[in-house]
Amino acid sequence: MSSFELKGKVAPCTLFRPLTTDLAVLAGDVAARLAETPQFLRGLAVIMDFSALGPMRDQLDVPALTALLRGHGLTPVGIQGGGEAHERQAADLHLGVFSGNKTEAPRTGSVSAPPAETGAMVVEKPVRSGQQVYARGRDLVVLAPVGQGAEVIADGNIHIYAPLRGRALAGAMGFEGARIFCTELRAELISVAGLYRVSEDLPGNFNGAAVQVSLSGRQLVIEPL
Amino acid sequence: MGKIIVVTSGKGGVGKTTSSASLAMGLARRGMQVAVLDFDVGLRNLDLIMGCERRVVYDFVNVIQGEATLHQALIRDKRVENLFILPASQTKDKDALRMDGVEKVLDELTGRFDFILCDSPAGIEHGALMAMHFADEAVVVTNPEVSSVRDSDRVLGLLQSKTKKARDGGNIREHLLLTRYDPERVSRGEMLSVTDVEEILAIPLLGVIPESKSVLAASNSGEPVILDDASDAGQAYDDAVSRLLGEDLPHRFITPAKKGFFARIFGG
Repeated sequence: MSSFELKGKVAPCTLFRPLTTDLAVLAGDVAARLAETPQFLRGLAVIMDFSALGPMRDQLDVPALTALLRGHGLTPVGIQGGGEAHERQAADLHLGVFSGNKTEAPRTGSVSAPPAETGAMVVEKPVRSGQQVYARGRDLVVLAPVGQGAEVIADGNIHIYAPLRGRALAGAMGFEGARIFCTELRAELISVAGLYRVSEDLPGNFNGAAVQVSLSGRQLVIEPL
Repeated sequence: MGKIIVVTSGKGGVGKTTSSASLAMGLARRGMQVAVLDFDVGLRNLDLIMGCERRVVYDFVNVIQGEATLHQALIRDKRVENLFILPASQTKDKDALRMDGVEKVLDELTGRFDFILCDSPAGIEHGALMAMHFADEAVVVTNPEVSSVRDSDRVLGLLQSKTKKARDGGNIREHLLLTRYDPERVSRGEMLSVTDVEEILAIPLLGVIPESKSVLAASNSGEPVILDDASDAGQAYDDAVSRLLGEDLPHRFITPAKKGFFARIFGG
């Protein structure tokens, strides 16, 4: 047996996203923010994200920013959205380089569709009670029953060509265009982009029917297929 | 190499031990070398159902802890000489079933027996996980009732993810054994039907054991019900044993018995 495990896990992490390259201004603002909630932020692991700076980002120096944050009790663990020079500086400081979208502008509007990665994830065996299947960043196709107490989740659409007796959550990262298709609806819960209905609230005439579930406005719509 | 079969269910009281005893007895009656192991440490029952409770000296945990040899702990059945029982410990804790110890015992047994049946405790904790861990096949005992079916579904998920075979990329062969089936109540819509359960669990049906008074009588007398050739439950277990050995038999006892004229008029 191995003495350790390697596990892919999404851990919450705070981004420190400078909106200026002026270190003096940053230092003042960081000090002011930390004074408000010192306990909460002490030792907080942050990723320095340069994506909001656009072309100005090259004027910002990673070692200097790292020192500034450490001086205020934060723990920089890596960078993202920087240029090649930044990545070299990060490597010298033994900081990680995260693959954020390198030229992404600060987000303003609603969440966009997840990128279609490598087609849909296909599950051919029954999803049993207590099991969870998550198709990250893509669609999910299930060819066998989803049992009571089982959970199928996708960032994209979910297609189930068998009875759905458990839970199905499409658009898990907030994609409102996601849909659930199912040949036999007996679900405990269905959800699209966080809007959900439990079994009790599903119209009785759809019990056992072939349906599609989508969002219209902020309303969950169930229609026969 | 002997085949390791776990008899499991998730839910308690559905008939795991009754089924383990009858399947073991049925296989042994057909000349197979069979060992049946009680994994329910702390709640020992199999010895009672097999009628050997007065001959227990050493148990499973004694063997794992090196206090007795397997040879000393195995109890030979008095009715069929090629059937052996390894009782559970009543005093120890389930954690005494260490994985390396269980593996060692099973390794030794597979060299000597054709079939090793592991009678699992209820639940999905350590004892149940140990009982299924090294299995080649699984008999999932289910009652025609929603909570039992859901628990069986959960157990099927564990069989496909937590066992050694699953972790090595293999597949455990799964069998559904539907017990305490009452065709009368099914026809009145009070109980799930065979088809309902098969549809939900989606695994091959090994057998349907009808609800029968002979099961309780058999348990109390320490005679596995399969030995009661006159009872429908005994016959149904015998059919299940045949299917386990690869025979293809039609399922019996799944429709209500035809009633005579008087029974229909005066109520059976």
